[in-house]
Order: sequence, then structure tokens, then C-alpha cells
Amino acid sequence: MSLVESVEGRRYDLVIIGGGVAGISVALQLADGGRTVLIVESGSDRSDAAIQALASVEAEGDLSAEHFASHSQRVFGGTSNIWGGFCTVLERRSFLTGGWPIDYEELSGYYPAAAEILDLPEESYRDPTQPLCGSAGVVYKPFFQSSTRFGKKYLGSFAAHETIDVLLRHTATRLVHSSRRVRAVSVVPSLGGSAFDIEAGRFVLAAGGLGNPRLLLQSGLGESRAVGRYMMEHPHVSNAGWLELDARCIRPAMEALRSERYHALQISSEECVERGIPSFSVQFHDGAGQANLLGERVETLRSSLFIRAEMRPARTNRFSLLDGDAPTGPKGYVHLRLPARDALLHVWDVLSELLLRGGVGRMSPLKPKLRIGAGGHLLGTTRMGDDARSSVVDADARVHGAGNLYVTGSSVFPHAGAANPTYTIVALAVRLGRHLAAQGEGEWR
Amino acid sequence: MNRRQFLRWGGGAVVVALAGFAVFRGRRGAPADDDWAGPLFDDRFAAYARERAGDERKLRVALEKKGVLKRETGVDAARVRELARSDALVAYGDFTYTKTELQLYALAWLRQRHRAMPAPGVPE
Repeated sequence: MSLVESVEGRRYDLVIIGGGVAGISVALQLADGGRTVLIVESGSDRSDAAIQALASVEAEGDLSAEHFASHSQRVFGGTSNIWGGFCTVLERRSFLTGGWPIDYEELSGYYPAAAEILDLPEESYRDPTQPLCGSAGVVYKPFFQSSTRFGKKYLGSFAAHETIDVLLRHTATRLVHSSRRVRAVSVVPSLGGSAFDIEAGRFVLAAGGLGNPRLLLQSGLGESRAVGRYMMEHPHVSNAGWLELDARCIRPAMEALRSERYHALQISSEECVERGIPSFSVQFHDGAGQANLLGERVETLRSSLFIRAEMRPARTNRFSLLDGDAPTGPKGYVHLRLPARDALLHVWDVLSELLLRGGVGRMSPLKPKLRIGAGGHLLGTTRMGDDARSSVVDADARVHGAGNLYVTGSSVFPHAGAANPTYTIVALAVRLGRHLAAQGEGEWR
Repeated sequence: MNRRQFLRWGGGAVVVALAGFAVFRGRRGAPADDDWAGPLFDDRFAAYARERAGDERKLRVALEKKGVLKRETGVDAARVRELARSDALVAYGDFTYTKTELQLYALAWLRQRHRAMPAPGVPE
């Protein structure tokens, strides 16, 4: 039985802290290599209000404390228990400008494996974008639908697995380290009990955008780094305006794909780079109509629009710890400011202009009063980069200066793109898992 | 002036007169055939068109000068697309248009409305 109640006295090859999408995806890569793996999950196999309360934070800025707590799910399977299943590959934009320390091809090579884990169609990585007639600056980039609940899908197979253990209802509180190596992780029963240490050769933090920086800060591993800084969200705006597209232009792009998906247009990465603007996506639905477009009466597709935008990383947006001595650690604090309407307006106008000048269609002006919300994606708090002063993990997702400690999940994104992050979270976790699995015996000691 | 000279000068005068009439007609605008306007008639542009009801001739001349409206073939949509690459963009109603589009749709609305009006004295 691999759903363990106690691991005292045991030593693992790898401890993964966090049993969500990222942690499970890393574990799957080590399932066949004979390595002993333990997943430590703060929550249970189903939601528990008392444990979920451990995710509560105080917040200032544009989003409520409840927003952050509700998107830090303390349950096996993590936020896949509540997600909408929107999946699309990350935009190339920030890779083209050196925003990531790895090449885009390095990341995109892991999307096929991620698609398998997420039960996504091949089209999601083989044909993630379709060109539109007349406008090289705009592409059709839909969102594919995953209905995978990671807890439901994988807990059973882990329970029967010989080398993967799962410890539920235990919260990691501190990494025990010396000489740039982590020796053990201290855990405590989430609802009360005695703390104990679990030793391992490798540690992977996969506890989400708040959980990852939390554990580094609680362990004294974040004081001089960017830990908790550069936090990002995905600004989302529903019913932001209207779109009318020439059916002759959009339908071939839409009909080139067969899988279930949500339609969306996006400014191409190359166009974004040229204009120095962040990634920007508008989702639309299929509604037939007729309208005048550039001197012709044409069949159109008319729809209201839903914005998914990228916000630039700013050091002032951060997660930190408040004072306190609760057994599971002090309460967290988040300060996050979303982009103002004017920032969205500029990119909206660029998209509008590209569509009209390219003869693809037209948009309405951005509505004057918007409620700018967020997608529930907590990103960037342990960002990946080459410079330890402005990043937390290196290109291999290893914490700068800590030989056997890795981080995975949305917290390592140095730039967020506009795409919902889960597909990329899984791709990066697969990459890390395979990197660990490929390490020789000597490196594991 | 002998008979031959008279015919030469007279013929020249007729040519000049005909040419002048053609220029005059051209300045007045395209022929009455506004079939192009029907497909582009859309009440979405009623307010924009009404504001320009007194400038109908100006609209037509402007569109002809741009090569968008042609006497023989009506609207040249390819030319509208070409102009769209650099045309001014104007927010009107729910959407954004090129300036040329709005001129064209306004004229279409005005022409079509004229056609729909009963001729004076004709019982409806």
C-alpha cells in the first residue's frame, strides 16, 4: 500500500512537496526507474475546509485574499479539482526576447507528453495556431479542453505503485539544509500533531505559486533572492467588447481543427515582439451574421469577447510571510496590482487595427468601464533565470546555489504569456522529471 | 471662311462642346445607376449618413477620387482593402471602421433611401 500514514525512519530518493498537477507529473516520470518517491500533500483526497483554511492569506492590491486562497487548493490533485480545463501552448513571444533561460523548442518538445497526461488531442501541440488570410499579425489560437482531474486519475495508480508513496494530510514546514544541500523536509500533520523529518536525496517543490515561495522563505532560503517577488496573474475581462469577422477568413482556420476547443484570436508572437507589447488573446464564440466589411456585404461571425492578457513581471508584486508561529507556518501576505485599463486598451487597439487593416474583421472599441478580474493563475514567485539576483531557479529548475533542490509549477514562469498555464506547467514538470530520472547513480547520493 | 473651313471649325466646336459636357457630367457625379448601394445599405449607418445628407455629392466625389467608386463597375472592394492599410480609423456605433468605409456606407444609405422614396405625385 503506497498511501502511507507514516514515513518516519524512511529515506527516499526523491520527495515531492505538493500533490497537485506539477507534483504528480514529476512523479509519473520516475514511476518506472526504480527510484523511491514520496509525494507529500497538505490536503486529503477530497476537500477539507479545515485544511483548506491553511491556504488563507492577507492581501492588498486588486484581488481579494479569498481569490488567492481559493486558487491554492490543498487537496490531492491540486487546482485540477476546480479548473475549467483550458489548455493551449505558451506563446513564443517572451522566449524570442530572452525572457526565459531556455529555448522555446526546449519547452515545446515536452508538450506531447503533457498532452498525454492531460488527455489532450495531438492538435493541441501539432497545430496550436492557424494563420488567417490577410493578416500575418493575428493568428487563430484556440484553447483545447482537458477534463482531467489529477487526483481522481492518478491517486489509485500511485496507491498500487511499488516505488511511489503518497503521504496525505501532512504539511511541509521547513527544508533542513546545510552546505548548499537539503538533507530533509520537516512535516507536520495538517490538522495537528508532532512534526518529523523526512530525508531524501532530492527535493522538488511543487506546492503552487504561493506554497513554493512560502516553503523557501520558511526555510531561510529566500532572503537574498527573488523569492516571492515578480508575482503575476492573468488579467481576464469578460464581455470586453465585440468582434465581427469575415467568415471567409476565419472559418477555414476554425475548420482546420477537429478537436473540441474554445475559439480565440491572438496577436502573433512576432508582432508582439515588433511592437513591444505583451501577449494578448480574445476568446469568441460562433455566431453567424452579415455585415459590411471593406466595401462588401459578407457573411460574418459575430461575438462578444473575453480577454486573456499577459501582465509584465514587477518586483513590487509579491508574496511574503507575516509574523506568526502557527505549527504549519506563518500566514502569507500578497500584494498584487493588475494592469490598468489603459494598458489593456493599447493592446486591444493594436489587435483591432491589425484585424481591420488586414481585412479579417473589425472590433468594437474597448468598453469604457471594465471589471478586470484574474484567471486564478499564481505565477512567477520562484522565477526561472540565469541571474540569481533576479531569479530563484536556473534553467534546470534547480534553486540557485542549492544542489539538490528543485522547483516546478507556475511559480517558475519568468513571463506568464496569455495562455492558461496548466499545459505548460505539466510540460515543465515532465521536463524536470525526465531530467531527474536521467541523473546517474552518483548524482543521487 | 469657305465651306470647308466652316465644316472644320464647326466640327471642332462640336467636339469641344461634347467634351465639355462630358466633363460637366463627370463633375456632377456618376450616373443614376446606384445598384451598388443596395447590398451595402445598412441602418447601422443611418446616423452617420443623416449627418452628411447635405454632402452627398461631396461624398461621391471623394469616393470617386479615391478610386473606390467607379461609374462602370460600382464599388471597387479591392481598392477599399488597399486603402485600409493606411486609412484613418474611426470608432462609430459599436465598431471601428476605416474612414473610406464610413463614407461609402453613408453614401449607400443615402442613395438607397432616395430610391425608396416615392416620386412626387406618384400615389403610394
